Order: sequence, then structure tokens, then C-alpha cells
Amino acid sequence: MSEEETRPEPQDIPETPVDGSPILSPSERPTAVGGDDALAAIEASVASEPKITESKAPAAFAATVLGDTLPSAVREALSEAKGSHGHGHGGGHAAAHGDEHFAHTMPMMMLLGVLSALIILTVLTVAVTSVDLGSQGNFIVAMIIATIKAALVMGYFMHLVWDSKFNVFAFLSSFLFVLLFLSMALLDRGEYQPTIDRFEADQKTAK
Amino acid sequence: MSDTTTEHGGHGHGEAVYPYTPHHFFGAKQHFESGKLGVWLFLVTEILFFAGLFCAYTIYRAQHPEVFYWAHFYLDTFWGAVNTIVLILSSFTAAWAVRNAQLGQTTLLRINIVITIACACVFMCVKYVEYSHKFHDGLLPARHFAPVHEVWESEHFVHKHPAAAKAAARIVAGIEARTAAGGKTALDTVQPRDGALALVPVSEGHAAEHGADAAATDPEVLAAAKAATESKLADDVWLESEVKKLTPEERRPLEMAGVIRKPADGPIAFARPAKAGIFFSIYFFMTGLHGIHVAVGIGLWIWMLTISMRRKFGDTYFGPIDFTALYWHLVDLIWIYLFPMLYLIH
Repeated sequence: MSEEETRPEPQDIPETPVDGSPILSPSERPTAVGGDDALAAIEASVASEPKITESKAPAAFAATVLGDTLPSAVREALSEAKGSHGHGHGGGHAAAHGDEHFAHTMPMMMLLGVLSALIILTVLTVAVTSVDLGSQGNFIVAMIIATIKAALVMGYFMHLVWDSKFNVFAFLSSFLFVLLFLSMALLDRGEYQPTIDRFEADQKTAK
Repeated sequence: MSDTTTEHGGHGHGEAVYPYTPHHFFGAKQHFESGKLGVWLFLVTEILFFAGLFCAYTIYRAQHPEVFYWAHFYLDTFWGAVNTIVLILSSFTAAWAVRNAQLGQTTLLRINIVITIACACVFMCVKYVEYSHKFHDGLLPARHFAPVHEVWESEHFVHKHPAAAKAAARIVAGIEARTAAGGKTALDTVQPRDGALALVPVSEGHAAEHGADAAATDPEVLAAAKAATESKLADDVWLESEVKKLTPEERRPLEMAGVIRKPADGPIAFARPAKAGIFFSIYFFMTGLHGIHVAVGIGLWIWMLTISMRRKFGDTYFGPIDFTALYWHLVDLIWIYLFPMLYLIH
């Protein structure tokens, strides 16, 4: 039983042609091939890893510009392709055992960018408390900033942006349930106040 | 890794290719992805675990906003902010450690794990300082709650609203003088159902000596309390007249903190808001549960450090570091919300 026989799961489909890129004509997966080099180029410029040697500036530029707008399936494929390059395998063998290249390595610049964004937002959220924005205004602003910070941590530090759809769905669904929990509990929060008041009055009479 | 191995595939070779992947996986990728799914599901249960406390917080805040305003004078934004920055830094080094593991940078990996552990320890030390302050001031959860200083005596309140703090001290001195004159303890005057003054005590137990101090040091207060006309007034009428004398600047902070109960909410009262201690129950449970997670995280990182000594991480084997980092980011994520909820109340 060879490994590639067990592999045709839906989410893995895009990566097989990418890994075997030398066999395919470039026109078949132009973005993927371009992005492959682009990411490798970014990687090289950022961390100057010795094993990454290729870079094609125009393709790199295009992929950097397009990077964020691409559907995540394509991005996944890109990251897969990058994995194979980063390791310095010469195309042909990668297809045979694409299994080994699944690491998505975060560029150093991106990690540093997220770190500084988080620190700036923390300073901002503390600074905002000195401005009076009404009774609930400050709390809402603080929670919005917290949510932006949480999104940065989840998307980049926890690399959910590049994770499989199923993991993203599983994790985000927990927030849906928390929301449901909170809203249902808030709906009848005043419901038992009369009972509590009566109980407390009784306690006082009993004293 | 030669290509002959992969052409043959199979279990026998699989072990050679991926030394850390057990038999029952088809390869390192499946090994990694099953582990990762498990970690995500664990994180889901963690979120739901904390959701119970978030729910308690939300409901209590919705019902008693004044208690939160009252409580924020006891909390130190500075230390909260320091801890936020420390945790964000440790999250960054954790994310960097994952990168190191994937690229097989063993030395950097160990350095980053050690920095992460160091940040976690700093976090715990700051928590220790905060907690010991709270314990010292009697700000304890549930029935152990017995604040040493009332809110108008607290450092932050005096700093932020000096006029209101002075006015509060004046009224409290008046209440204590009246109580002393009446020969009753402050507690005995709490009869809100009969419409009498709810003179809920300012630091029970110390009331008598406090009153004596105030009377001895402040002859004005003593004179005022002994004034025949005033002492003949019913307690609630006297308190109402005192409250009416306050300027808006003096009155508003005290009203927002629930110290002066608004007429609409029942008989007039001047006291610590009812059930204020529940805030500290919520505070200690939320930060305490989070603190336990940080402590567990320290243990996990130490474990990862030992694994990094024994095994070689690389782009096909970095799961343990990645999963520990995911857990660590979740701990950071929860703190990102706890910080504005507990330390930035305005």
C-alpha cells in the first residue's frame, strides 16, 4: 500500500499538481506557481534562509499583491508549494511524497507585525479609558479593540488563516455557542429578581 | 530521505521516514492533522469552560453596573496592562518557536521556549503581587469579603474625585456621630422595609473607634452632630438633607458607585453597594482559572523543552510545539478579553 493511494481527500487535491509543477504546463496553475516563488522570495528576504535560492521578482510582486485576495484554497495550495521549495527538493520527487510537506512557516516579518499591532492596540485601549464615551461607550470600544486583538492572535499566531476549513469551523462554532449562551441568559436576567427580593426580605424579618 | 523509501512506502519504511509517527498513521501529515484536530476540539471545550464565567460576569454587570464602577477603584490598570504586554510577548515567542521547530532551528527553539516560560513566570509574579494586595485589603471572594478601606477612602477614588471623597468622609462622620449618640450600632439602623434610614455600615466592627476618632479630630463634625435640631431629625430625613447639600461634582461619583442609592431604587442609603463582594468572587474565579491555565502552560513548555533535547524537530515533525503554542495562544486570547473586562472599567 503506497502512501499516495490513501491521499485523495478533497482538501488535498490542489496540492498534488502544485507539487508536481514541472510536469504541468505553467498556464495550468499560473497563480500557484507564481505565488510559490513569491512566498519563497519573501521568506528569503525576511529570514535569509540559505536553502532558498530562487526568486522571480515580477511573480513575487504579483503574488504579494494578490496574496490576500486569493481564495484560501489557493492560498493553502501556495503554502503547500512553498513548503516543498523551502526544503530544497527539486520538483520531481515532491509529488511522490507530498505528504512530508505540510508545515506552514510564518514569515518573521508577519510575526513581528502582529506583535507590534497587538502592543499598539493594548496601549490604545488603555489610552481610551481616559476619554469619556458615555456609560457604555468605553466598554464597547474596549471590547471592539479586544476583538481585533483576538482576531490577530487567532488568524496569525494560531495560523487559522491557513488552517483547514474544518478546524476553523470547529473553533469558530464555539463562539457561536458562547453567544447563544450569553444572549439566552441575558434575556431573562431580571426574571428572578422578585424572588430574590422576597427571600432577602424574609431573611431580614427572621433576624 | 531518499526517494526509494517513498516509492516503496509501506509501514516498514514509514517508520524510517518519520521516526516519530506511530504505525497506525499513514504518514507524518495525517499524524499531525489528527493531533491538530484534537487540539482544536480541546480548545473549543476550553472556550465553553470559560464561557460560564463570562456569562456570570455579563449578567452581573448588566444587573449591577454600579458595583463594577465601585470595584474599579480597587483595581490597578497598570499591573493589568503590564501583564497584557507580557502575555502578548510570550505569545509572540511561542509563535516564533513553532517557526523554529518547522525550520529545525534547535537552539533558537530552546531560547524561545525559555523566553516564553520566563514571560509566564513574570505574569504569575505580577498576579501574586496583585493578589496579595487584594488579600491584604480584605478584598476576598464570597463571605470572606471584608474590605479594610471603603471606596471613598481608596487611593484611586481620592485621587480621581477628591471633592467626593471629602464629602463622603463628612457624611460618614455624621452617620457615626448619630449612631454613637443614639447608642445603637450602625447595623441596627438597617430597616429599609420600614422606610427608616439604611445606614449600612462602613467597615463593621471598626465603626465605634472610627466614630470616636472622627469626633475627636474634627470638632466641626462633633458640633454638627450634637446640634439639637439635627439630631431630632429622623435618620433618613437627615441623610437626604445631607445628600441634597452635595454639589454635582461630589454627588455623581458616589451615585455611580452605588454608595448613594438613588431615590428611585428604594429608601435613601449611604453605604457600600449591596452584594459588592460578588464582584470579587467573579474577579478571583476568572483570573484564578486563567492563572491555573498559565501554570499548566508553564508545565507544558518545560515538557516541550525536554522533548526538544531528545528529539529533532523539523518540517515533518513539529506537532508538539505547535499544539502547545495553540494552547498558549488561547490563554493569551482569554486574557485579551479579561483585561478590558476587569481592569478597564470606566
